Amino acid sequence: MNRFMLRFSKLLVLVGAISSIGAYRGCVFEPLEKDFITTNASINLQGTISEFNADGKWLKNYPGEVRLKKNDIYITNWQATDGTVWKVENVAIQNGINTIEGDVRFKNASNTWVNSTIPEFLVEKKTDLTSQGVQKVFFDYSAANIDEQIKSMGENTLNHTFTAAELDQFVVDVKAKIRSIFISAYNGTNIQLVNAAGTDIHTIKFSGNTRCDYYGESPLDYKNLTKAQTSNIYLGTFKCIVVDDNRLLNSTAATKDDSIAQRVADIGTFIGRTVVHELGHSLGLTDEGNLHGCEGTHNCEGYDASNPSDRFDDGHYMMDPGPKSTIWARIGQANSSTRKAQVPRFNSYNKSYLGIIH
Amino acid sequence: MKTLIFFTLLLLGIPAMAVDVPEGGDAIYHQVRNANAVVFATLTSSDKSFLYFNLLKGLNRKMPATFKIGRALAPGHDQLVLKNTATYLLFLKVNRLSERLGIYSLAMGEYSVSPMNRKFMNDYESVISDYMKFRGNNAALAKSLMLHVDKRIPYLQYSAVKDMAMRGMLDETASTELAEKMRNGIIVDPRAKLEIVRKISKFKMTTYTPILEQLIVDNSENVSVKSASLTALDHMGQVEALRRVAPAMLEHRSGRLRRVTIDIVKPRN
Repeated sequence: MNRFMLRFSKLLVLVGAISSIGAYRGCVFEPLEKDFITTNASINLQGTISEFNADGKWLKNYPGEVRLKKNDIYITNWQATDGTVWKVENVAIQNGINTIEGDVRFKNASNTWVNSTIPEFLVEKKTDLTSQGVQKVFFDYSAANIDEQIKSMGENTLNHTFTAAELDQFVVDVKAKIRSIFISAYNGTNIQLVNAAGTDIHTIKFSGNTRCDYYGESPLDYKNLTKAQTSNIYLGTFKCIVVDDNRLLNSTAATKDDSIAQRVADIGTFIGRTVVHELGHSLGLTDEGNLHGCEGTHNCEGYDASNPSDRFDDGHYMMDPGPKSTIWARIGQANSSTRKAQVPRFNSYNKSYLGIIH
Repeated sequence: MKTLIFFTLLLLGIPAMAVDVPEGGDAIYHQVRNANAVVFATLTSSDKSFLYFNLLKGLNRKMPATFKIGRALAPGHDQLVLKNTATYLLFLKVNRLSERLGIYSLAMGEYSVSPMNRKFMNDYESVISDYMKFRGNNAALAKSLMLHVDKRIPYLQYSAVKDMAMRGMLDETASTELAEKMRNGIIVDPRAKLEIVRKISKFKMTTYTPILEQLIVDNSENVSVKSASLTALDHMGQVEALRRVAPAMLEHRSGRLRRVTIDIVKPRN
């Protein structure tokens, strides 16, 4: 099964879930994302009219008709499907926000129309974004006490008695995890990790000073117009929250009996998420005037309250605001009480912005 | 005068910084531990460089009757929009050099400014005093915060609940006490509700299933509270309750609620 078919089948499973309550649904498999920025004048849409059984399993697609709405106005008449797939091509996208939704219908065995809907989704056209080419990024671990802060988070949250060599390895492994979280988050964009600082290189500067205020800070730079900037990551604050406040053990499923590997994953994901987050600000996320950010240029919980969007998720999305980003989401867990992996990621809107500028 | 001009130029030249703070970093505990001064003050005017305040009361430090806050000394300063004549609770960082010029900075950027109603000034003062008095004594702090929750002042209520959660003070007994307060309509702040819902889920307090259902179907509740309540019902295995509320959530305008509901009801192998 190729990648597209795999994704499509996953989508059918998701839509199928709805059927345990409602048996028919208009679904969209192109575009795959349902909240994104485009610089194009038009988009193509494709989907199906699908039936699911009471267990949520997809049963079949129906030939029928579709009509689409954009910003509450119908933009097509009823159009017949091609086989069981409906296609609407070259849907004009106007500058700004476009809310797209639709109706679907098909005739059942007794020749009666069965009606359903295509849920709303958002397409935002922007004319001020262009590719900024490659952004190189350097991790600067040269400051004092960095390794000590990382070691402390291992030593003080596990029953294990570390040898000096194990502690050194712990640091190496946490740094490797930070790197892998970073690479994975920016996969598909033109962001490259390099081994030295220089002109046009963004430096992620790790600090080992004792403090307990910010995890990190970074200059906000919509459209990433200045490539040589510095983000600061304060490992002292991570240590304060994890060890001094004991929040890793108090507020997540982590226990003192966890393995060293588990703790490497926890701490590496925790720090790595903030590294990704801070670079995100310096790439322009999430500017309040241009990208609907709020609460200090972060994903806006309030935006989801009045739009068919999904941009805030308690810290599971990279650019969620700090005070609302739970420590369990930051360490890559779905909840506070059980181990269930949920790696932090960019929401589809942020991802589309990054895809355009890099 | 030269020093003032130097400072002003310096402040104008500092770029806006976006920051990542710990969970609950805007609540009182984290603010107090990062601030040298906690004050009530009224904004009188503002310009590109400064916010100008009249002092109403300094809680832990002698402050001048009027003072200004350098916008550039506050991360996120470009987004700091405050109303003239409004009263604020401010958590400040004091630098001796700039203090001689009457200039202060916000301890944690825009997270250190909280609008307040002057008629509740005494309530604010008693809550913040308790934070200072009981610092290092979790049991005493928890006891006082639990009482302060009843004041129904949103920021104070949020801070009390969040700080108890962040300090590991919400065991099953304390969480039940808060859940009862929520059942009795005492909890008015959505973020306080969110924390309590998470505790109901963590301790699998199935008695509160009807409360969760109510939060989910109540149009006035926010998306995060609804989303956490759905997840809590799933975590506690409340299938019947989910069956009742899921259809409306699958049709909800919020993309987040639709996703969360689909994740819960989708068939699992």
